[in-house]
Amino acid sequence: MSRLWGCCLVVALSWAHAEVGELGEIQAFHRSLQAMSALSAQVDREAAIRSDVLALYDFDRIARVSVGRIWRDLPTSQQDEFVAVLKDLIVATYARRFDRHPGPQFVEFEAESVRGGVVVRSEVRPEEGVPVRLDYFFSGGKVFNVAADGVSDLSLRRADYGSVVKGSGMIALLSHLKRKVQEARREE
Amino acid sequence: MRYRNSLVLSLMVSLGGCATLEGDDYAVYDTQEEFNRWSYDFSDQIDRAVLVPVARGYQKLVPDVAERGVANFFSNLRALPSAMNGLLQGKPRAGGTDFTRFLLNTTVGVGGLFDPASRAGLMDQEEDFGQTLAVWGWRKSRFIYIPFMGPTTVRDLPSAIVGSYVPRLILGSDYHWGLSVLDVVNTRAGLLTTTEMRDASALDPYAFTRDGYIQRRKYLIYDGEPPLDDLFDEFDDFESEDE
Repeated sequence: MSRLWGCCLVVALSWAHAEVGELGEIQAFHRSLQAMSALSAQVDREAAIRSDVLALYDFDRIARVSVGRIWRDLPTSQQDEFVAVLKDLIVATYARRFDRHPGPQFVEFEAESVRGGVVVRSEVRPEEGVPVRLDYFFSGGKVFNVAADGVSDLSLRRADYGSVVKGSGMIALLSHLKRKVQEARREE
Repeated sequence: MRYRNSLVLSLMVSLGGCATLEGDDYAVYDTQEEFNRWSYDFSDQIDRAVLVPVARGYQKLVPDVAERGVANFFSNLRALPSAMNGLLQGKPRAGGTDFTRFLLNTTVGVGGLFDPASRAGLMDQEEDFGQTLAVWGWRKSRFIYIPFMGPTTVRDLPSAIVGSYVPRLILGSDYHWGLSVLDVVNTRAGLLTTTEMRDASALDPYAFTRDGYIQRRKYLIYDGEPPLDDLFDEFDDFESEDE
């Protein structure tokens, strides 16, 4: 019986540790975003946030889900190219969206364990307007999805990219995404 | 206006009468995609040519405080149907919150121009009849993009139509058609940032709008607490199918 309690304690402590860990990761990421927003040039903001974004997100999973069923039929070189463009796009988008200092405030509430992983609940409070709920979905220690007021980033990507792949193919999708990266990088 | 409503009604009847939908609750059921895409493109052209420039001009000319006042005024009028729908969904606290918001903002908030209720912690519950129907069991519904009106589902359509009439229903003889114009322009101005973000992100703006709308509705139906497992399972299912 004591062994059973011991196992339960270990499991409970590891869950608790996981929740604190994931919550801490999001707090640190939000601090990095705020620090980045003080930089005036897009290129500097991208350089400042890149390592944080790459460490936080599970790009392989995001890429697989975004592209859909044709993923496994793609040559490795095209899969690698897609993941690389996706990384550039997400980094450039963060740098573009958080370009005003001090910018919005972040509040991190809790990390909740669910069947498939952990969800970190937080809120972004803009200087004007209503706060937006931001939920980060972790699986295997990395974020694969972010939902803003219930709208899932990964679901949108899947609908958006899937539609382009279905209509025009993978090369067209890559070309569209590269154009989006360039647009995000264009200084205003 | 009468023509538009009969078009909408006939669309509803024809879509509602189709075969039962097979699949998950609150999934995207875009059975009329060809029409919807045409409707989206048509509305988008009008939007970019007329509404966006007007909304930008409005945002530039009207001081922020006045813009907020206009938004508060219309939001306050819609607190009454929201309160009613909260009650219809068996949520007396949500219904009471909206009703108290209406009383407080109409009196202390000078006819709804100010929002002291939010400062007192009484937040907008954002209920509507589409959500009530979903709570009552109508979970799967076809997506439609109505020209000029925007994204909706067959289930949410009556609520969207009635919602546009709320100011005239509540104000009665005090209503002036100019208020509807102000309502539309102010609403569009409030959506400028959202549509700019859509333009910056989306490769297929129609698919992006459709999926964003369906997800947002699910979030509202669950009062901001949709089942988290669903969001994990949705992608797990895909991946296991894929392997």
